Amino acid sequence: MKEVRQHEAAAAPKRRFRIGIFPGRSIAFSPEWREDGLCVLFDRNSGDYWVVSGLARKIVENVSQDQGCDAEDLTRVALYALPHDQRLDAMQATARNVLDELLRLEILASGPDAVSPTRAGYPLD
Amino acid sequence: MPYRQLAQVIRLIDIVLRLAPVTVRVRSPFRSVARHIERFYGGLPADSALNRDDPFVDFDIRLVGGANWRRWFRPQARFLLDESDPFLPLPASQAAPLFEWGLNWCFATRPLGYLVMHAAVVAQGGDALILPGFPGAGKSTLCASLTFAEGWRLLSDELAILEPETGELQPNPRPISVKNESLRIVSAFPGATLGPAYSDTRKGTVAHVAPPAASVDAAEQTARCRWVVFPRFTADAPTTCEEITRAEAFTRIAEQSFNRDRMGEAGFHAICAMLDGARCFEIGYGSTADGLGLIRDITSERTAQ
Repeated sequence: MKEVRQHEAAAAPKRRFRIGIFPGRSIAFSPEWREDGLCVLFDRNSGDYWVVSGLARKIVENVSQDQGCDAEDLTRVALYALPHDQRLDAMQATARNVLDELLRLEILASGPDAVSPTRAGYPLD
Repeated sequence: MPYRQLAQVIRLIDIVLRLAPVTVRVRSPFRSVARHIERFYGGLPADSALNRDDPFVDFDIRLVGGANWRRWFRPQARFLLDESDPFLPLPASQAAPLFEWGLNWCFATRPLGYLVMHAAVVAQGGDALILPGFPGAGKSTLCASLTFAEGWRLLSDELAILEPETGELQPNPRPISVKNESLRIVSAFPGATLGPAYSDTRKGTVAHVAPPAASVDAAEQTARCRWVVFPRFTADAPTTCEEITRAEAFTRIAEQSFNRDRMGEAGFHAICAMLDGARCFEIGYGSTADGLGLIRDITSERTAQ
């Protein structure tokens, strides 16, 4: 049964997610400030602003121009639009962001509050 | 009795001051306000009503006494802008600092087309150094020290006034407000002229220092932001200096801006353009001498060019 489901999954067309600017927002961009690695996005309608990475800026810029893109293509285009040295940083940043998110959600912990797997009752091996 | 004679008899001050980039009309019966303006704004003309016919003023300010019995019993001072009364009254003895605080409020709240930030600004030539800061961060003391000990031109000790279209910072060289422990430090600087100390204000003991004449003379000369330095004074703390990204500087400046929200996209692009040509730092220091040393290090690269 399990094997059959795996075949079905392989045969099914890959789900494509369309991404666009959040309804009601109109985004303005700070200069790229490439040497800093960070820039600012500004919502003209609400006055909200966000500090984001160069990669995030590129993604939002592409979405703004295309009025909606495929998620995978968007990531690839944005990544390759970055200078070579920043591309690796961007990939590492993605991994770091995931880790940060896990910390923020308190799935993981860091510092003195962290519980080692052994102490938590899950030996490493 | 003609108006001018009457004004002299009751010591009514009625004067129009050009405080670049604005023109202000000030009227008050308080002698302390008249003395303050005489001391810090170049002296009253022989006839204080001389300039009343100026065609346009940005702020029409009146400092008046308290209402009813508060004119005589524990007298009060009230600040009126265009006849509106935005503040609670203060003791009459604080009428002069109320004028300065109220004038800052006018800049921060009146739509003049400028982006106004809470920061001290000094310049060398056309290169400006902005010192944004939360109250108590040490910006006024550092600003006074740079002005009197290091020869920087004072643009303002309280307000960074940015022209969005040109990206230029507008000078507004008015008295520097120093508080509490800073009074002793600043009074020791050569050329620093302090006015009377006002005790028991909501900021503690406050006194004003006259801006250098050279800064007042250059009040119409704009400057361009080259450095943004966020100072943090903690007595006897070790010196630290860290360059920060312009995006981080943006968020901190946005917090210190009085009217960024109202300026909308123009305000956003104005701050970005200002930061585009600047380097941004955060410094921590435990003495004024250390703070000045850090500023010297930060700005020496550019000034050496």
